[in-house]
Amino acid sequence: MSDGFLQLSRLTKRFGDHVAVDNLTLSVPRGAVLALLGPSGSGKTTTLRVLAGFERADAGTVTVDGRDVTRQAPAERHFGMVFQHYALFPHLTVGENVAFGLERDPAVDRTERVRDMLALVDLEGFAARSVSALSGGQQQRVAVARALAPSPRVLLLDEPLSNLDPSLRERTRRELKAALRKVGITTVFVTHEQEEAFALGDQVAVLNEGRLEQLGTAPDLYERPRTLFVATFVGRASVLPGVMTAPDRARLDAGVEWGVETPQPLERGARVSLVVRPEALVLAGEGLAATVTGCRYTGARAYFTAEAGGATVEFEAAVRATQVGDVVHLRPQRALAFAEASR
Amino acid sequence: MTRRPRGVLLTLLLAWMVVYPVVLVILGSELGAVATFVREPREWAALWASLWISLASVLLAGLIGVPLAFVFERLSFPGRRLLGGLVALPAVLPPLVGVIAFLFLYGESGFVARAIMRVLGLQQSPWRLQGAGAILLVHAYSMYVYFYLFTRAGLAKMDASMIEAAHSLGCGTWATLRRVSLPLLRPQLAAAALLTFMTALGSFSAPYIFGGGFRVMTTQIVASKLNGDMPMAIVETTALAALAVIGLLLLRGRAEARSVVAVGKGTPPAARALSQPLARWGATVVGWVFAVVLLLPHVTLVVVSLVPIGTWTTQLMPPQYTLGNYAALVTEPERLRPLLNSLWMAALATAAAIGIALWAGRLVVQRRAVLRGAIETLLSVPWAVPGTVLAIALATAFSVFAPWALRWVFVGTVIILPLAYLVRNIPVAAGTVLAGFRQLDPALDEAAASLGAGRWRTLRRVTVPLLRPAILAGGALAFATALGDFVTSIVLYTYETRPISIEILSALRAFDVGTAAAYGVVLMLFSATAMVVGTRR
Repeated sequence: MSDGFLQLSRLTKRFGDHVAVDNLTLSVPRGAVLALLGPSGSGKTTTLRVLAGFERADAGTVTVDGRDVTRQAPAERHFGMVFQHYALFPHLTVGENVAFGLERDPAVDRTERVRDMLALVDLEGFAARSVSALSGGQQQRVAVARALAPSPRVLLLDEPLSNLDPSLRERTRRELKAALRKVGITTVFVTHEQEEAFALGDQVAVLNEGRLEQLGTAPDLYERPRTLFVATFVGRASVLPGVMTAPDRARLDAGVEWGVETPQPLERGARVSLVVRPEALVLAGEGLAATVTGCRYTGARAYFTAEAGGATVEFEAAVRATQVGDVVHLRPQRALAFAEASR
Repeated sequence: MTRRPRGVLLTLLLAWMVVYPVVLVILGSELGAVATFVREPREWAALWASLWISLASVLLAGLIGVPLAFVFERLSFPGRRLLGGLVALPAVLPPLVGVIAFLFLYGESGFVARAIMRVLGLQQSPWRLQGAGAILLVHAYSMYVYFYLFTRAGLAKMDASMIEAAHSLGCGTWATLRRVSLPLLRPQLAAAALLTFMTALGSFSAPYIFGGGFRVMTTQIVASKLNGDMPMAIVETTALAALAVIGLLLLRGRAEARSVVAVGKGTPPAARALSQPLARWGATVVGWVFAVVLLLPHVTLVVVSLVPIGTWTTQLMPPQYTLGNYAALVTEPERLRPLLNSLWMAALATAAAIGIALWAGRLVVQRRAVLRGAIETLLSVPWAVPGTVLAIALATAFSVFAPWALRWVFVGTVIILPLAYLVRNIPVAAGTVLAGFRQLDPALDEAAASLGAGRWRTLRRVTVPLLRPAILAGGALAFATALGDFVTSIVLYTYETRPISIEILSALRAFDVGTAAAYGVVLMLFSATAMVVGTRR
């Protein structure tokens, strides 16, 4: 992963003593969509702002098509940006907003380009409207059209759906995906919602505390997490403390011994955190004893929470399989062991 | 029981104080005087001078104030906070104080002229600070602050991602300024232009002290009045009022035509820090030079206030410094008197203005009285009436005893100046207090009522405590303005009620620059205090 169209190499950004982006290396192939996923403070927005040129990297480089753009001003990069709050110019109409970035290229027929862009985001005939008269979803689409109009080399989106009502979010997401596919533009977007990251991104980079935890597709991250952080941040999971007893076995502090997979090799006797998905934890005649404390219905099946030796576990089962107050025995179909977080 | 519409009493009171005198002046124009006015080229010249001086003042003030605001809002450099506050000081500085500070610094016997004479070995001052140029210089120097404050406020709430969006769409620094920042600031710039235009049109101190043979409408009016030609003064007043109204309507129309509202939910604060050492160093120098040049007149005033009378003749710097002038202000009854006069008259006018503002706030905001539109208009009218016009109007209306027409003889009594100050203070007091009322939760009033509190108890226990910041801010600004008033005072004062500004003028005439400056410094201190109180949150 060293020859992508957009290449971030050992990128570092500090704010005073705080390291917001820490030695980050990422590569995006031409035309691919990369999602930067992480909790707030993980450095994903800072990474995007460094890419856009709004923040200056303290170390590392950004290259596009083999050319270093790290020292270029935002205006020289030919990157398109969609802001979290859209940043539409309120003193201009929809059409004037979309045409704003076309001035630097006198060869472009602006009227035609504006019409095409508005058609792309399904806003034909809106050119003369005032941007303040638009709904939130329409504003978002104008922001996308404005960013795409000058045919940028890379498109950057900062939490593109976070300002929309949940009911509108899924539809807008589909429309955005369609528009990106149609244009075929290399895209990086930031989100803290995994559903959004998986739906829009060809690849998802999970960031934590400024560092890249793992880069992969949705199944990669869910099925084969490489770190404890990814295992717990992506999807639902229970975490149980234990000790390694063999290269593929661990004894839980709650007493039972489980067979485990180890994404990173672990020595015997190492303290570990065992991660189990709710659907991988099944009711059995024997195994981890737990007292059911809660139940969340999702239809025919339900998510139960239970208390096992001081830890809380979550498992999925048929609604009538058990009830609050029961003592159940649980067995993992698949459990992952990670070195215990050093804190 | 039939209920009279709420607000009738307040509407009538305001109409009597604010509109009635001006209407009397306009109706009182004698045809003979009108004919003389129309035939007299000097009158037309003065009217034209008022207009172009005001427009040029807007331009110059904008050229200073807008870049200054960008420097202080967008760049961060050592001393930014302190200097940023200090350069806003002229906002509350009485115009007369600025004018005499200028006189001592740039006048023909001021520090700069003396320094040049010394260096070049000249016998006479290289210039005379007089005429249109001098007036414009003073206006630009004191009125940039409107553009500065409005632009800074606009920049402070501007969405930083607007600027970043322009950059990412290929705009450089200047293109972003031209295509995004300035258009977004349009409402603020239009408001500042309007305020500057109205202030310049009503400006009296600068043309009076520096005008020489160059007459504008305000000085023309006072000259006619002092020459005893009251009919002519009335016609001139009408002409100036008409110019003010036309200017107000034209400029306000422009200000409101395309005021824009930002869309989107969040508004992150604008980015500020400068990374490159060279740019940072440059900003520091620019900021300090700006600030020092703008504040030098006020420093000059302090220096001159320490000069005993008759000791500073041809030397570059005054040879002696004492606190004698300040001691005299307190110990000599004739010097103390104007100080006390100004203090009590300003205090009375401010208290009355705040009272009216609270009354209006309750009716307009809380009760939504039927006449709220009329009340709000009346509250803002004095702002559009040049001080000279108001003074002549009050002098006309209240020099006749006719109780059936609601006219009494106030001119020559202790009532007239506080009344004039009150009318001038109403817009600033009402502006801040009404804004405070609008932020109050209407349910608080109802909560107090449901807990058994009557109207007065609610006012005393709930409304006034919550409005305290607004009342303090409005009161402080109103007090400072009234304390330094010159333009209405010179028309309406009597020897008994002469305020500080009149005493400064007579000290200047007696070449007692130290005393004039000491009064000026006192006014400056009160203004600075008012600003600190008024802007604290």
